[in-house]
Amino acid sequence: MAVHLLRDLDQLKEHLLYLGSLVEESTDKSIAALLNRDAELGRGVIEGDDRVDAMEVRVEEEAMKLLALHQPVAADLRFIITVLKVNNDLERVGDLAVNIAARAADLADDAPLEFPVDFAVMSETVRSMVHDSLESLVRQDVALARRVWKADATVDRIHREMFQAMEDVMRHDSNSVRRATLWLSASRHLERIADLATNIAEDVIFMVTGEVVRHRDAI
Amino acid sequence: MNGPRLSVRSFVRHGLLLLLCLVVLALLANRVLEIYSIDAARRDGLSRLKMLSEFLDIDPEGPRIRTSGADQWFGRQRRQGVAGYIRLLDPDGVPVMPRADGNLPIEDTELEQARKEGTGDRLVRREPATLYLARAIHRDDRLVGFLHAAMPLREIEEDRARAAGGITVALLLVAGVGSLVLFLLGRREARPIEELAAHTAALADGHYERSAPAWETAEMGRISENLDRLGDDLMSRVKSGTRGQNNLETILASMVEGLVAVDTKHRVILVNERAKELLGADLDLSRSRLLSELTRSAELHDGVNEAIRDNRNVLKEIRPAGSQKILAVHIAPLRDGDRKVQGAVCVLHDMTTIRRLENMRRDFVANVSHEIKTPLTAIQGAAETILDDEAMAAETRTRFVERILENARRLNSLINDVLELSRVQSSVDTKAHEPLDLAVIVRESVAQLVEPAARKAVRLITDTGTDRIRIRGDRRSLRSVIDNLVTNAINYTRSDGEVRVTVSADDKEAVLVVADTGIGIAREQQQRIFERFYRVDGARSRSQGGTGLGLAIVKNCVQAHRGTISVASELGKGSTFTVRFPLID
Repeated sequence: MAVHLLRDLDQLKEHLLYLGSLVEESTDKSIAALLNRDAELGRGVIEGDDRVDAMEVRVEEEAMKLLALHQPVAADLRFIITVLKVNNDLERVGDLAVNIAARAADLADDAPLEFPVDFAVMSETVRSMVHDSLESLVRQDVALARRVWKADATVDRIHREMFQAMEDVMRHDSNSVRRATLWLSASRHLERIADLATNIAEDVIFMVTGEVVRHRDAI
Repeated sequence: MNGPRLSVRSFVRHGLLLLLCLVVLALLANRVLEIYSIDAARRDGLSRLKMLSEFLDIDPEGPRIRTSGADQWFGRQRRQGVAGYIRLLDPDGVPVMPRADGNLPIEDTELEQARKEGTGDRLVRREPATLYLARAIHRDDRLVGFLHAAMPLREIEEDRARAAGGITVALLLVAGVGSLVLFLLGRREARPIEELAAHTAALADGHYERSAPAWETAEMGRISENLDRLGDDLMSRVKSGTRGQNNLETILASMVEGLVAVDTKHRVILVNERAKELLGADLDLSRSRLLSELTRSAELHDGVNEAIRDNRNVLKEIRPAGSQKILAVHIAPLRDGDRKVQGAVCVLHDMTTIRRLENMRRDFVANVSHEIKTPLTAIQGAAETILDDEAMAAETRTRFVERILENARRLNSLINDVLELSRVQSSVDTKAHEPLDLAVIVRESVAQLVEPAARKAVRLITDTGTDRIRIRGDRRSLRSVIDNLVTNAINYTRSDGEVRVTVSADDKEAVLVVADTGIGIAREQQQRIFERFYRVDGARSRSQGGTGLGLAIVKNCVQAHRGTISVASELGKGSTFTVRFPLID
């Protein structure tokens, strides 16, 4: 019985991390599509979302099956609950990456828009947050999870700057309204991805320590 | 290590047995002593009574002793207060002599016994322990009376107690000596077992080279032999096993390729250092890990699944998450003896450099083709126009021919630059470099460019100092560095501007500075100007005859001379290129 549980837990983890790798790749590609104005890459991300969705359903089914069959307790139960939550979050990240990729495809056809915000820093931060949140899950590394939690502030700050910058751009040049709106939307989606990465990091902290750190100002 | 020690257990068992024997022996001895002492007393007493009865002259008509002096004898006995006594009783058991004892008949069991059998006895163990004896006296077959005696047993009991004491001491002595012997025997018997335990423990700890202790008994001798054989066998097996393992580990660790083996559940069986490095995984691998814990790559995951499911080799190119590398992965199914798939083995090659070089080469070829195509198209167009229009005015024809010439020149300089770049890139061999004076080369170069500068009305100012600035290098390459930098400076500076070329030396480096007051370079473009075919303003520089390779050549030359180049510039105010070469010591 215990051996079966262990094997199934491994399987579940493997599938969750596979979903993680799909989502991480989508995120990376959508950001690259946005920054490099690569519509083709963006369309690839949009097509890849079906796999993400299928995998999310599969992970959820497996987790349910484990709960029903083995009725795990303590650490195993926390792990499965965490898997369910992270699974949800990852699927949402996948959707947001698709949205960003769609914005990238739209923006690639228009002339580049100049604005004084370090968008590259923001996207790199989000990229590494997604990466680190999954990495903290793999290593059960609470310290790394807390770093993800802290990085969210940078993303929020740049997103606010972005808002201000787009307002200025639109005020000065009415031709840029469409592009500015698209950029703002992409920025908004990136900011949401960062939030979800933070959620995953919080779930990891819960899984390892049993401590609930959501809705706190500082950890 | 549970339970009592073997020697203790043996000692306790044998000790208990010994104790039991001794106790039984003591009881038996006591009983025997008692029987013997009391029987002796009984026989003794009865024989005395017999002697006495025959010696006494008793009147058969009435129990009366006719022996003279018997009266006094009985009386004396009584007077002396001896605990025991002898009495003469009549056939009814009434004491006759001594008389004073009253006339109540004595009806003890010894009298009844004596009446029937001739003698009787009764033992009273109650203190004072007494043995009563009776003997019937017959005269002419007629019972004429009894002799009745009471013998106090105190002395006999005392003797017996003394004897019992002696026996007890002896038995205790035997018990003591026996225990000691038992203890020593137990230890001696247990010693081989303990040695055996110690030896097998040493075997278990891996001291296969120790030989088993030599034991005397045949059985233990056999065990000893067997253990030695076992130890030798284990030693040779472990040695060959360890050697194999070490060889394998050494080979895996020295591989340039990364290697990861997984089972069908994607659990990592084996991973070498190179693979961890390539995948950017610094996990603790002491416990079992999943492939996706090692690296998150959907491609790799799919590839492994494919190899396991279809039982065939798979080739993939992956970019592991969190790593900038491009890896080619050969995934082969791992099959066991029955050709059943047990997992997959992935061999990782680092393709990053190769891919980057491929990209660079592709870009370069594309760029060169593009650069060549433009002047060729112009030449072709001009030539066709001249051919088509036979009635062309001489003036117009000249203009077309001039255009052909101009484009041919551009082609020529482009090809020269490409050749130069290729030469510079292949001449990284610094050993062929000769000692040179940088100031002299700068003066030579600038002398050639005075005329073009004057034509553009740009002031060309040179400050090469008076010292020799000795560096090691290739004259032709260094000339092209200075030519390119100064030509660029002149080209991008408006009339009335100024180009200043300075050569100096500090402690370790020669410093060449080419500063102009030209149009300058935007900050975001400063990083890219050294790329091949990169143009800050494409159309304009091409029209000025640039090939887009000048700064790429400069950078490659400088690097081939182990120097550095940097640029500082502000739009509209001018640019300053600073080149540093190491001085000859």
